[in-house]
Amino acid sequence: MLELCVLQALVDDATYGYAIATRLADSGLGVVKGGTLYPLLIRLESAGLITADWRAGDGGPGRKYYELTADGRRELSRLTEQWSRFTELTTAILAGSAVATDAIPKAKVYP
Amino acid sequence: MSSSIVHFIRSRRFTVEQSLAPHVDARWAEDLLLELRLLGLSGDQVGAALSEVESHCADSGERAADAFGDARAYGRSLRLVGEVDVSGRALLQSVGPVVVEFVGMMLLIWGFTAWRRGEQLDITGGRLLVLVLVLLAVAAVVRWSDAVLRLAIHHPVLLWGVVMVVTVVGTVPLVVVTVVLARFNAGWGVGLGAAVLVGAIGWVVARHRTSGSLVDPITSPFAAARSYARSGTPAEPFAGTAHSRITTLAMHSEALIPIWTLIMLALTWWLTR
Repeated sequence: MLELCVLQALVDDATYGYAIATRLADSGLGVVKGGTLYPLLIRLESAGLITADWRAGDGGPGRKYYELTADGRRELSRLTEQWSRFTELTTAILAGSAVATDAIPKAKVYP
Repeated sequence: MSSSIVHFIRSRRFTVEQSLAPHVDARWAEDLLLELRLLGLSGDQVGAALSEVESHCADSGERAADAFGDARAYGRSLRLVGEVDVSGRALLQSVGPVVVEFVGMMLLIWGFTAWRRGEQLDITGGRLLVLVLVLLAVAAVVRWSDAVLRLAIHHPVLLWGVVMVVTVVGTVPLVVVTVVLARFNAGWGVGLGAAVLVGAIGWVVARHRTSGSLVDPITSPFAAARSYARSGTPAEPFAGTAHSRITTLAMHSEALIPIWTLIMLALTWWLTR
């Protein structure tokens, strides 16, 4: 569910790869390596969930900024709901009180 | 003297990498650029991929190898789709002139040799077979261009050995199959060979004029001012690569075949006087 966390990191404003990695690390997810993050960002961009544009650095390095698209926001909502149901169900199973609930939709895989 | 030349070559080697990505280890950057080129990506795509690595390394202070792992694996993991034209027409444009040049060169040399000896030009089964073998070899290089390029870059000595063995084996039919299929006046061979060679060179020149430079430089995604097309000679072997990986193989042969033809004619002249 790393893509869910990455989409969430972009929910407030457009930002660049290292800032996304820092937000994820600060939120307790741990270090997300560049080798994992950037291929994922490219796949999300290809899927139309985020857009990217290059901005020249002001005294620092130039950066590629990513921004959620309308489709990206919808996908974020869908994944958030799906994840919530999954965690509720898992918690119930672990607590020994699982009952048949709505089937969890299959996770969408981005090409 | 020689050490200064070596130093110059070394300092030129990573020009693109160090200009685009000063915070990335040059060898790591070179591996990434090479992998992306082998995947058929354009200079713009390659420049953008490396710039993002640079951006990350500059911000984080991490080494590229630590943050991104193996450069080649990272390049493949991006799963970028090449913008390079690899259509049949583009392949023909790339490889066609070299093949035609080669046929012209062989006809010219055979005709010239026969003329110097005062003989007729014999088109033997062996000579025809050699032409067919060369066409097959070119087709094989086109078909497996990726593997050939990787071999050329990572195991150049092995590739050189393969080329030598193929060349030696390829000359066997010349000696073994001597049956004469057709016989012409030697002058026809010289004239036809020269015409074919000149025609192929004309094809190359016309293609360069219509499609512009064959160079597809690696460019920064930022201002065009940082384009390596303007900042100087592109560094080998990446910025100098052409529209496609096939062209990379073909573009040097285009210039080499006419030069090689002249050398062979001069040798023939000297040996048959």
